[in-house]
Amino acid sequence: MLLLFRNTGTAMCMLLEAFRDMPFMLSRRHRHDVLHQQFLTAIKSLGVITVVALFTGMILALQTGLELRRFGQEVYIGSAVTVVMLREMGPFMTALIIAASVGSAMAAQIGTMTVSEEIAALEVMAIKPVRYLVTPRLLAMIMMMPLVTIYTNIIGVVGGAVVGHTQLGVSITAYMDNATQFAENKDLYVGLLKSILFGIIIATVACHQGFATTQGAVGVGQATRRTVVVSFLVILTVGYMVTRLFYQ
Amino acid sequence: MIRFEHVHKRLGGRVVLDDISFEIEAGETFVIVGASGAGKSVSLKHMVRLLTPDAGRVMVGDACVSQARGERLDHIRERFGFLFQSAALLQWLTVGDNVGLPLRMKTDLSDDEVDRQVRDRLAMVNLQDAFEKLPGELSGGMRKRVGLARAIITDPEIILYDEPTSGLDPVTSRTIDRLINRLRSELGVTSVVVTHDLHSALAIGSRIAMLHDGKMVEIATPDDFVRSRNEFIQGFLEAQYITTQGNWGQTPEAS
Amino acid sequence: MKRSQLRDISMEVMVGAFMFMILLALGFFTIILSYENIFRQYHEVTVKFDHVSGLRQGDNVFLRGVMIGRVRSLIVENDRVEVTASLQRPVNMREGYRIEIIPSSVLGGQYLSIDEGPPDAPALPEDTVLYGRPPVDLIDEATSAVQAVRQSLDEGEVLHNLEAIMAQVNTITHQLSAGEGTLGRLLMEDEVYNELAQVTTNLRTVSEQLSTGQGTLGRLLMEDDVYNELEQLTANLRSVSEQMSTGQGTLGKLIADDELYEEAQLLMREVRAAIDDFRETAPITTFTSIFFGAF
Ligand SMILES: Nc1ncnc2c1ncn2[C@@H]1O[C@H](COP(=O)(O)OP(=O)(O)O)[C@@H](O)[C@H]1O
Ligand SMILES: [Mg+2]
Repeated sequence: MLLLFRNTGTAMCMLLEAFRDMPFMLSRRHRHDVLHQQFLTAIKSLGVITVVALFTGMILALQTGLELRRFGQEVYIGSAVTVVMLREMGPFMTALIIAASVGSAMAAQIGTMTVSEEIAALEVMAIKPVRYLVTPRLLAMIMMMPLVTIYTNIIGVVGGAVVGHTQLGVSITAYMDNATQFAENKDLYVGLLKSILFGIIIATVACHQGFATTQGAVGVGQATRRTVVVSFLVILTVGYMVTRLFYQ
Repeated sequence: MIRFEHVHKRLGGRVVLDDISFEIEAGETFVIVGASGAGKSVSLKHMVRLLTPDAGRVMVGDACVSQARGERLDHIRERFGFLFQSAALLQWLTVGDNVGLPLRMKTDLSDDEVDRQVRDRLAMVNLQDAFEKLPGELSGGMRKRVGLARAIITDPEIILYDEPTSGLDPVTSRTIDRLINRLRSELGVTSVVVTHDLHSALAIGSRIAMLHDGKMVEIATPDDFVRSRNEFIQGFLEAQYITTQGNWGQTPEAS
Repeated sequence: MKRSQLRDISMEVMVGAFMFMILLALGFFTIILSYENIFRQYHEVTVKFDHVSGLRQGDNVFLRGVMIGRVRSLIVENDRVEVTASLQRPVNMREGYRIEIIPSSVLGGQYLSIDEGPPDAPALPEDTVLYGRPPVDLIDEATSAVQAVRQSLDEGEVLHNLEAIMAQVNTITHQLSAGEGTLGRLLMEDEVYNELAQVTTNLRTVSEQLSTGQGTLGRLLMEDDVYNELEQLTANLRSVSEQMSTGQGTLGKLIADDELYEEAQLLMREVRAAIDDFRETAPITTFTSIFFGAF
């Protein structure tokens, strides 16, 4: 318990320091490090995100569609899929995938650096490891998570439309009409707010676990595993709280 | 220049440094020898506060590095160059970017100027051609030389070398020795060198210290060191076929 | 050109292209999802309600069953709620308009229903403040109706009640048709007279149907919906008739008092509407609207 508090404390300190150093890393000379992280966060994950988002949308459409068909209301899959994607599944699925792929990679990379004295080398060069390593990752997450989430939403809604069209006989226009009737801008933007929070969570947990790595390769493995577990848990709780806050 | 005052350190449940006190003079090359696991790297890390003593303190000039924080610690650290045992290069950066990293993060020098200085340092360690390579594409010895180039890029007053020649072929080892000597004679750099290699130690050291069982069992000039009565030193010397005959402590020719 | 620079440029292009595309999509979605369409003109209607029963921003607005817009905002005032709706077409309210909040399903969700009023009624001026009718809580209604039914079935009093009401209704109708002297002034006006005559015949029809319809009632009782409505009607009629029959003195006052006269006129209309509605088995909401509206 004490350990939990302490870890949370150090993670928060690290987060604050990373926020403070944002202007530095955004200066012309260091922008490129941020860009590199953006590339890793977003572009490299697009493949797996596409597949997952497509099937999430398809599954949502199929399951709700089969239920709704009993009442002859298949056309409501448009709103069901869109609202669920925008509010919950989009940000949530994106966060899980990014945590599992990008987050764990971050933890592994920083963990390896810790055990191979690279972090120590940065410290001796008086280069703040948080500024140099955490800030660009945090910035990239904050900027790219919402964008990737929008992408997930689009792909998910398209997936739903495809299933609606082929399996449930709901025309694309009926699907879109229904979707736009019930989905609100609030759904979209609350979802995006969530995704930004999730991005901050992933970057913080991954970097914190990376820095806390001890004991060589075994430690790196542990840091990676913990990153995924801890970020999932925090994402779930924070996701619930945000939903609670905006949809009482 | 660097003064250990009654430094105690426990690590992993055993005493690594046990009440150690010694002083390194400005401009000298202080060599620390000792068996693996004797605590040589640990003592180096105390000088830049990668480790903090359990008791006692480490002074760098007038500043107590063991209690410095934040800005002041950064200022002390900026006086040092540190060559890590494992070189500790950032794997995703090219050799050129690795060596130039301190300049790009800490100074406002233009990219061209950084480039020029990086090439200059790489030439000093005979690695002009490696500029565009990634650390993963280099051999262990080459990596260590890149680490050395990075350690000297900011023209530090003090350079700490953790086993600069281990794993290197004898010819390259001597090149490194010559480089250490050149930095000292031309730029007046204070050097602390950790090594197992007594040939190297005797060739570059102005003083040699033997670390054993958490204590400095001997601190002596190379000439006195080889004649030491201490049985551990005797064992060390014999293991490397070094006799008390011959004239040690002479600088090899600068190339 | 250095290897790392080439890599950077391709990275920049990819990240930039991705951001650009996604932001474009975001703008597009924002426009689609917002209720306002910047290219279309909207007409606003403001209605005041006593109570909106959970109507929400974005709920649909129907004009005689056709979706014509959405609820834009709900502003709580001192003792009312001002509902603003954006409509795709202008609506011209006439006298006798109805604006209601209707539950769209038993599970919740509301829509705003607008009825402009009878086609031949005079149009209201533009700046008229529109008032909506109080909404019905479907579940509450259903529950209380079911409970009342259960109770009266248990006590076997339904028929007695109905009979009692019929007696009262008969009394009223007799009083009305015979009461030439008492309601002299009322009957001077043709419109009121006609209405009264209408009410009388309607009531008579109802009571006839009910008293002869021993078998019909039996059948009615099998169907829950109709039964509930009947039960509700019974209750409503009872209170109406009770008040009217005890109000022999009140009727007397009617002759002297203009305000009460006006109210009586309204009451007549409501009663007639109720009976009409009952004959067409219209939604139970009408009955409650009499109940609240008339008294
Ligand atoms: N971070 C650490 N945690 C626990 N034990 C350590 C740590 N660093 C070093 N040690 C221990 O301290 C002793 C000295 O290590 P070191 O100074 O690296 O040896 P060497 O003289 O070969 O450089 C070793 O026994 C090592 O196990
Ligand atoms: Mg060592």
